[in-house]
Amino acid sequence: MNDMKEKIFDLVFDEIENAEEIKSIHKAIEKDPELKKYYSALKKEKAMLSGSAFSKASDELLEMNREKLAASISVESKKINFSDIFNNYGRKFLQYAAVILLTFYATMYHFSGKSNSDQPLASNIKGEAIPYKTVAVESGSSIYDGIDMSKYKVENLKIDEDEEEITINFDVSTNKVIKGSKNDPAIINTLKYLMENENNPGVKLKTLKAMDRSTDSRFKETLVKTILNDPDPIIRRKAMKMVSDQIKEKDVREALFQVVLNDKDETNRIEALTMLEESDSAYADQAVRSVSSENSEYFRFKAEEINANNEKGR
Amino acid sequence: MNELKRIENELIDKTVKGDTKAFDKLIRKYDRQIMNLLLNILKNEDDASDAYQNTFIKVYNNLGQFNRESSFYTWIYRIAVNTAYTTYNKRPEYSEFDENFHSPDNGHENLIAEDRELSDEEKLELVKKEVEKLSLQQKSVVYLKSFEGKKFREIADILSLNEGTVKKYFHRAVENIRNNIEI
Repeated sequence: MNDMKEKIFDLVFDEIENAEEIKSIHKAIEKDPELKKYYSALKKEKAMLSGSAFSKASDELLEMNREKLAASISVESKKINFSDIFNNYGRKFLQYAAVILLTFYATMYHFSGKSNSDQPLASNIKGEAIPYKTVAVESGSSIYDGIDMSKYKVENLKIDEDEEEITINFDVSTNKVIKGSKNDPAIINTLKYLMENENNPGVKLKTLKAMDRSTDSRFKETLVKTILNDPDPIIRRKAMKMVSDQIKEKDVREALFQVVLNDKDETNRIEALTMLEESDSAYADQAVRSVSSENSEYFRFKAEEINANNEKGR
Repeated sequence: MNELKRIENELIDKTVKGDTKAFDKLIRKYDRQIMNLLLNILKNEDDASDAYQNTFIKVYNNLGQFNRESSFYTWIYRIAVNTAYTTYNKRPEYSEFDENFHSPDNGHENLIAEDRELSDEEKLELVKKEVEKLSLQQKSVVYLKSFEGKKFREIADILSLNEGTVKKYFHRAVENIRNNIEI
């Protein structure tokens, strides 16, 4: 019955497109007077909501704002955009400068006949790392093992969807790149390290996106830590979504339980509760009961709903 | 790529190169809907106008970073909703406004107390007031679903929420209205 009501709700609010399904719902409505009543009440509610419960902007208001915006955009377009200038000219300048410096350095190195012991990368990296040149790491090469990640700042993280390859660029002063397939141990370790140690939320979001491309189960532990400890609510929410297919696992469920209880962001708490409800309603009820006395309308409502359902069940 | 997407991409390219008229054409398709959305979330023409300006200036300044694989309208809506929330949260007077709104003098209780069959206009008035009582996010969901007729998955995309959460918000809002007003 409740399933059918859910379907009727979706039908009335235009969520169902399949003609056969629509037909079968209408048949069920015809057979059952209670469903018929529910259907007609929903239709009235929909009409009320979509009718005039909302305001429409007047033409004058819109025109006034369009004119004002056109003036603002004209000012914006004349502003000097330093980021564009850098993108157009600065990068090229830096590239030329790097080539000149490299040439100068190589010449000096060649004529001096000895190596420079102050090079930070050469001293740390095993294998055939070439100082001041991009170091590419393929398939968990030992070069990765020699990198002290804490010394380098990530500049960019690129995901090549076609090649299923991930490239992590470090800051220009090191000229360092880690590049490999999405399931490469070097890549996996770097992503895990970044998620736990990086401060920049933008880099973290990209790291999560890269993790999402991988099928490696070793990310779960990192994601659980992120859900519980990351200072950014959007990053915590994204990590929650990423473990949704592992919700049956104890540590994931416990982490979501903690989010319902303690997360500072209400949207995250509701999201976690929704995920728990979909997987284990008894566990979700327990979480709601633990927070029902607090000052959140949503959780108070949920607690009342659970109590009402329990009363019905008795 | 469909024709609309191709035209949209052309206009984006021209705008990024500095053609402000192309930007005007690009946003004309959505700006009325965006203004309606802002007006219904913020309930105040001045705030809606501020949010409208800020939304489209953000769109203009960030157009170069827009991912062409994504939906342009979802991107614009997301910026508009976030701008509306920021505008709302910046105004301390909104809390006073809400308190006044929920006071017994707002007419809602008076209508119910009269214990008679309500006219359609009166019912509509009550629905509006019930919608007003919703949180910003719930109000956005109800608006996007009821007024714009968007699918739950599209709303989830715009508000960066789970589809289940969006559906729950909407269910809850409809239930509230049903419980408080006998339509």
